[in-house]
Amino acid sequence: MKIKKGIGVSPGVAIGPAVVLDAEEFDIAERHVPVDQAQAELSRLKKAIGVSKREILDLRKHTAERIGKETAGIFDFHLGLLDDQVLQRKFADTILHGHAAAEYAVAMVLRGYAKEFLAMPQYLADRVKDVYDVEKRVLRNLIGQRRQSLAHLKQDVCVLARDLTPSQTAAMDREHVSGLAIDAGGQTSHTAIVAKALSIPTVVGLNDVTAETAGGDTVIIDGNRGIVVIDPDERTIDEYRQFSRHQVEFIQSLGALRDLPAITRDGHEVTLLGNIEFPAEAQTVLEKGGQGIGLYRTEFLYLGADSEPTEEDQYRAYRQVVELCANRPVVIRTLDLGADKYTQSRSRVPERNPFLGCRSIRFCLQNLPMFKTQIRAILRAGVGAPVSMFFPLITNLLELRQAKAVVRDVIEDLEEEEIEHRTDMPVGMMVETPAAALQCESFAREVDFFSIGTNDLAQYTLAVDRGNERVASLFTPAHPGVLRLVKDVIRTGHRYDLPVSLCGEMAGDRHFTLLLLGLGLQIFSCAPPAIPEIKKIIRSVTMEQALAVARRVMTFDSEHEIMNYLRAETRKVLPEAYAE
Amino acid sequence: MQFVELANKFGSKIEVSNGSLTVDAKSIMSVMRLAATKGTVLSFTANGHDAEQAVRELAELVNGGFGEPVE
Repeated sequence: MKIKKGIGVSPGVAIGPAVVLDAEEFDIAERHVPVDQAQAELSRLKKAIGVSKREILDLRKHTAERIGKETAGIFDFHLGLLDDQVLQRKFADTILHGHAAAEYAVAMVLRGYAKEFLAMPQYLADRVKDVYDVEKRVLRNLIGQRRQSLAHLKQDVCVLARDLTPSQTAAMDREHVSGLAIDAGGQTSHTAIVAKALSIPTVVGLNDVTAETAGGDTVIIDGNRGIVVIDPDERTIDEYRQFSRHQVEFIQSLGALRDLPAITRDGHEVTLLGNIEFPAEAQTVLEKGGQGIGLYRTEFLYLGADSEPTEEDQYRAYRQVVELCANRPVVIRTLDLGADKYTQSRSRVPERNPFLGCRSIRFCLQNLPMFKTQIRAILRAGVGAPVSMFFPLITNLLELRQAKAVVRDVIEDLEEEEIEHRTDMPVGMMVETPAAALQCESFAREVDFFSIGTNDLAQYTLAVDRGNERVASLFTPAHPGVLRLVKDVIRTGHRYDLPVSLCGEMAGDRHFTLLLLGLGLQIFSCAPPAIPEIKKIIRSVTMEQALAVARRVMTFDSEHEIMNYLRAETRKVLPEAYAE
Repeated sequence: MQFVELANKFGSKIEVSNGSLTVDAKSIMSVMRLAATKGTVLSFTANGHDAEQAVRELAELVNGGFGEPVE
């Protein structure tokens, strides 16, 4: 029996056999296959190379159409590389005679070349990027072939991986994937967010759990305590079985709150909404007792597809949510692509610092036709319903004004084309950078509402990459600096009579509910599974209590004191959630 | 690129050398390993029915200073 400690990001307990996924991208382990499997391994590689070539051909065609033939020529080198007979022979040799797994063969052979090229004159050394690009593509296709099998599982399993992309997490068979344990990542990595939305118990930031576990080993994934137990003994398994039963009972007991309002004991009512990515999740939000959708993430339409979704694709997805919600609020966030998602894997030259790069609204304002297509779909989908939209990652007024001008342009276009659309849709913005929070008073005069995104706000305020397990422990919205910004934004909203919602993970974390209430937050928007618990806390306290907690918290000067205090206070309110 | 593409049009086995390093002229990765820059002296060996034409055309391409600097 071995216990590994990570960060629990999606609660619950899973017990079952482990499926260990291969590493992705730059961290391919040395792995060999039995002699009789070498031939199969080679044809797996040939298939992946075939798929890669087709992708590159598509990309070349697209690039030639959009940018020009010259630029598209870059892909000729990629194609030439994959067609290279000497290279093919080396791959085949490494697999057939070296008994290497296909992934390892690709990485080893291409990295050998890359190393050699690096020592050469500059223009040749530059080609190393292309070699890596091709390597990444082939590996993705190789691993993708295996990962797809996660969609067709025969029994319940616990999935262990170096890392997963959000779309991989989303594509998993929910029936059979009972838990996730990930080497990389932190509290708010996107995998964590999706896992939480799907209610899959998940632990991240485990560093080397994939190296220490073999496929088929029994593992326990404890998403509550952030623990993974490899090869547990009978007693441990029994304890956990009992603990899960207790959890299930607690969650069931919350079901009774579904149709009751989120109101404090002394009559202060707040709005409790759900965050979603997929249209079908809107149903879950309503089942859990949410009053609507406070954050509809729209990236997933892009991440799941091979090509850009059309206006109709988007319209249908948005309209589905609007209709499911039947006259309840739906707040759609415009594309938040970039950084760890989408743009990097498609960009030929990855940004050196993508979180500070061309992401979110910046990416949209540089890709106007794409942005306009989305705005059209939103304005059309919002007809006759309380739908609003907001822009992510605004840092300065100019960006906000540009984005709003795009909305006006699109309205004019739709009017000219006589297509039914909304002309009065409320337009808000995310406050998720220190710049926006500090300058929120100027923004308040130009938007209809604020939504505080505490995941990015904390990341940018604390200068911590939440996906980097070496520093992820420094990431917490409980930092006094972050809390001060949150408080100021809520206050400014009140002063300008603007609705302010909070849609970061913080809104669904029971430890912050009292504090946020006390800071005057009116709209909580969280992952659907967290809704009942947050409602339970709100209904168990008084505003007076919440105000006292908020006042006290603002006097502390470290996140540790704040967390300890909030844990103790929450435990007093909801002891059932802590029973072990 | 152009160089390797052209080499692949011939049936002959073609090798290209830069000093002591000799590689398959039809392999882009191998040709890159030569690290040839402007001014490098390359020598060709071809073996097959279109060998002479292959060497002549490849030499013309290189001496003509084609756009792509790789070769």
